[in-house]
Amino acid sequence: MDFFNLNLRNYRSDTLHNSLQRFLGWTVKVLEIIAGVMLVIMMALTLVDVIGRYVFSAPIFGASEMISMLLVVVIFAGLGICNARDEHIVVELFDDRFRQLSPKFYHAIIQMLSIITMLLIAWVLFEQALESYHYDSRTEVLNFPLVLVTTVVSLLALISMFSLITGLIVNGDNKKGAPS
Amino acid sequence: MMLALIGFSILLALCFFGFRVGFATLLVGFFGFAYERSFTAATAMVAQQVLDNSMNYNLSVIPLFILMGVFIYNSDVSRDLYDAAYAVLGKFKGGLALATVLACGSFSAVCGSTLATAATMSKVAMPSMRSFKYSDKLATGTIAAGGTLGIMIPPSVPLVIYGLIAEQDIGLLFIAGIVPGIVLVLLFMLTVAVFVRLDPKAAPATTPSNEQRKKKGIRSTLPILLLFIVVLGGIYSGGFTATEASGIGACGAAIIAFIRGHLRTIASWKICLVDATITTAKIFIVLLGAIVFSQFINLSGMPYDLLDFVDEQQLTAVQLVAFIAFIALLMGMIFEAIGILVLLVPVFLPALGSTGVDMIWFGIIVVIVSEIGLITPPIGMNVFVVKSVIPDARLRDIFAGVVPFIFALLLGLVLLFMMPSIATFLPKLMG
Repeated sequence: MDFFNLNLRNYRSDTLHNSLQRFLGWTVKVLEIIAGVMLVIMMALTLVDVIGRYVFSAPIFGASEMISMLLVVVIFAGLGICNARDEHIVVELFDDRFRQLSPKFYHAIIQMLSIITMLLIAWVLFEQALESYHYDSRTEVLNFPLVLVTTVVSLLALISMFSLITGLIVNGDNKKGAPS
Repeated sequence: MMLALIGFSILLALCFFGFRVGFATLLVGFFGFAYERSFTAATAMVAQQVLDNSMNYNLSVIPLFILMGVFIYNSDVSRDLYDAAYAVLGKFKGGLALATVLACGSFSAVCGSTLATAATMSKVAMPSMRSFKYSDKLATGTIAAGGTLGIMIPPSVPLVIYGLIAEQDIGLLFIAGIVPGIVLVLLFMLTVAVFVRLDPKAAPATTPSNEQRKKKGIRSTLPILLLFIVVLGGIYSGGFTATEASGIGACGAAIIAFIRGHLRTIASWKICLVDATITTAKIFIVLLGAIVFSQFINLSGMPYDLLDFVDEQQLTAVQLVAFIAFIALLMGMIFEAIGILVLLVPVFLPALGSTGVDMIWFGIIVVIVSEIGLITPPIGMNVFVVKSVIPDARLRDIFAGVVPFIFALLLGLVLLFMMPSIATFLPKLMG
């Protein structure tokens, strides 16, 4: 993170920093709403499906497929939120000791690898989206065009990557263990 | 085999240096696969694994059960569960610690996370134990260890993930976790009893709970019990699938929270939903990374080399599982349950299959070993959670406090080895 700050501190104006911060804030807000709504729908869908099946003997057609599609959206919207807040599962064993040696270099490496991973995920998902468009793949039960799902997911992955980068720049100053 | 070991070493190194676990496994898996096959094959594999698994209907139990736990966590029911447990156990020596164990157990029955269980019990049980001058060792040790019940007593996220990897029925696994969970609760209580017998000063006498709190506690425990029975009963009777049970559980938890005066504003819903989303995403990124990694490991042929090794040595099922449990114990010092599951289980699947191990039983074994990992140094996640909620407790005391409970868990492990039916009895009844 310091790596980015060092570059930016000299050049960046407060307005750039502020607008990035605002952009990140909005992104997280939108992702939170998307994921939250999807989760509620998922919850309600299972309930209505079970009630429909037992009480009215009329389950929702393709409920499990809808739930699967909601799941993938929740995951990738959530990934963006995690990235923006730098919340991930890490094992901190030697972490702190090595950080002391050269915090700037250390963080540059760690975060570069994170960005590479996100880039990889976003890229393979975009390829997948193209492929599903090309072959016009559809889901088995609902015959729903998969390209819609893959496109949304790859866009979410892309947003996740940007929120990772923006998050690093914006939160860079007040992150633990990174004395600047 | 060699390549797989190099992959594992790089992965461990990356994790030690503080790299994000999920990203590290995904990246190492990707490059390993690309090295063995080709770059194009690796990207295709990553795309397929990421999409297939994040669109897996069976995995939708994860966000829904997490949501159920978050609702329960935010409904302040833990205080009442604790009061009810104390009403039952208060008359015994060390009653507050015994009640902590029981409350952890009942909280776990509606919450699949050890961290949430440990965190909420730290808040609820610690002040009472402090006010009666319980030793910090006993108090914090009980909470940290009691929290680990979260992954054994269903619903349990690690059991869902195990079910996915080992291709076992999630419902059966949940049912299998019930009796071992109860056995562990009893073992933990026994541990507390021995602890206070050896060190009576650790648990001074307490006053019995007053009638009013007792009644309120028991009254609020009933809906929680009902929710557990509906969710698990539905799975057990085959009335609904695990995913349906999780959805109904989340709805039920929301209703309980609402009746208790929570979840009445959009803002409070948002807090819960965002919390559940973040937890879900964190779990899935570790899961997806590990699945990609295991594709690389499978390609390297390591699982089959291990199979040959097992055949050569003519290991029996029990010997093999004991060997795996030992590795899992070592891994538990560093990784948490999900990491252990996804890195370890796929490697041994062919070998396990050839020796005819009961895979439901094996799942319970892996979970109990992961529980030990949650409280052993250097990285005992639950210990750190307790420490973060109770900052003035000394880390040394908590680690010292969990030691007797580690022995209790090891005893539980031995019991499971000696009597596999503890885990397999209920699922077999089911069919």
